Amino acid sequence: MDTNNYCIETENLNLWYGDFQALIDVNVRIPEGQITSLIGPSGCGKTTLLRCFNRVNERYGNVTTEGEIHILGKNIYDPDVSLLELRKTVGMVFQRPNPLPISVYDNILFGIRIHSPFRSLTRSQSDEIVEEALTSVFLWEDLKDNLKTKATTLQLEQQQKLCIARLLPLKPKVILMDEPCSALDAKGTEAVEELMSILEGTFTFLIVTHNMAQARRVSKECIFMFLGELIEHKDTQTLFESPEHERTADYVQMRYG
Amino acid sequence: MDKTKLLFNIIAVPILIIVLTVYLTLTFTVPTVNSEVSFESMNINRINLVKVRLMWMIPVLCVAIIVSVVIAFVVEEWLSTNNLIRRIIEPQIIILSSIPSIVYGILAIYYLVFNPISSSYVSLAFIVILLVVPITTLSAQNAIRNIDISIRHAAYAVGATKTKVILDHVLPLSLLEILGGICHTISRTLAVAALCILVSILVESPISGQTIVNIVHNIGILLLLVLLFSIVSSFLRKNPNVMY
Repeated sequence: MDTNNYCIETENLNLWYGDFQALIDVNVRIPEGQITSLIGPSGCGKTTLLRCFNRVNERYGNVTTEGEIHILGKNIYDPDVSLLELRKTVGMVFQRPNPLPISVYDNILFGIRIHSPFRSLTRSQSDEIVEEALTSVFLWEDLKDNLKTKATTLQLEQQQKLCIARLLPLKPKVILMDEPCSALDAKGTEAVEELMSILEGTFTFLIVTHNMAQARRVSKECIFMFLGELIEHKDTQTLFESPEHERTADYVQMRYG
Repeated sequence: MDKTKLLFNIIAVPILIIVLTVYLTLTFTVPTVNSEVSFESMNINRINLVKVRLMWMIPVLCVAIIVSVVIAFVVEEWLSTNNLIRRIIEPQIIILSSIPSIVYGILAIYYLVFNPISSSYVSLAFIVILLVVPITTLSAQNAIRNIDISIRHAAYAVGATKTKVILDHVLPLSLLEILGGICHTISRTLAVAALCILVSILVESPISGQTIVNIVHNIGILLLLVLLFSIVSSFLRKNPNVMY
């Protein structure tokens, strides 16, 4: 890795669900402004690692975490870290599109309203934010006349784009994506990947995917995990073409998974 | 479900409860009886005494319903599945809710009809609480669990607090189902009340023809209300995921 601008760094990160250790001494450095993909067989800890970065794991009871996670240089487990601020900085897009069952307009404003003083956003400011966010994800033309439509009635691809758009007004630094295209068809996947490529540079993307073709297409760097351990972290081309570890080679050549 | 329909449903149930309260108040109001004094000396019959006591259980019923919903939210939202308090409370709620209403009905008959003087309001209130709290809590818990986890994820992912998630999403989305559970509980409670009044006619002696007519009229109205609440409950609970 040739960059020193790391957005996310972990030091000896260990995580247990009850007695089961899901992450074992994970040390990783995610470069800023790039797309990094996390690959590995099911149950290897990809999603768990991803969820650590905005501490959403803590919502699932019986979770113990050890080690350090630095995001933009700050350890997110420091006592002075506000979860609200952390989740504002580190947005997350889930496997299944999960727009809130409210209008498209209110979905976009949901996050920013949480982080703004009560009724501090004027109507014109709100309109501007909504237009900007929807334009960024190429939904404005499709939805500008249907902003009051319930978001759950949109097509899946539009819903997933809306979920990304919902994060943008908060101006996050990192966007975590947990298999964001697994519920989408080929056209929807292409649209989301194109969107990620356009937004790359502005945001740091960390994407969990089971689709190795997708990992090759979208990410600059790739991390391979196996049974809770980080096995290999390289630039995507090297990892796929000349993996160092046998397990990585087996996985990327689809001998298992 | 559109907002108008949601609003209609939210308004309909409190209106039903108010109508019930007003009806029972107007129908059953007789001089209040001190349990220390024999009802013969008060020149009041057992049937009226039963009705007065039942009427006094309406506020208990309302409080029990509110407490049940609060318990459901606390258990589901604040206590993890491994929490000791939750592990103690939940099995008791399940066991108590599986007891048929007739058991509570028999208890109520014992206290209300056969021991009207010696029994206290506290013992009656206790029966109402046992009848109402487990079922309402269980149905409210189910309503809260039915809320798609992805909605919570979506809200938490942008920094929403637990209170914000509950007030903005969980409560509005589970409200109809919770109201359905409340209607079901009221229906069961009214059925027990009707049973108590019916038994009080059988025990009371002598009894005039006019009194029998009045009591049958009261029981008829109560049974109609039982049916009404039951129908409203079925309507509200017919499809728990209707919002999505």
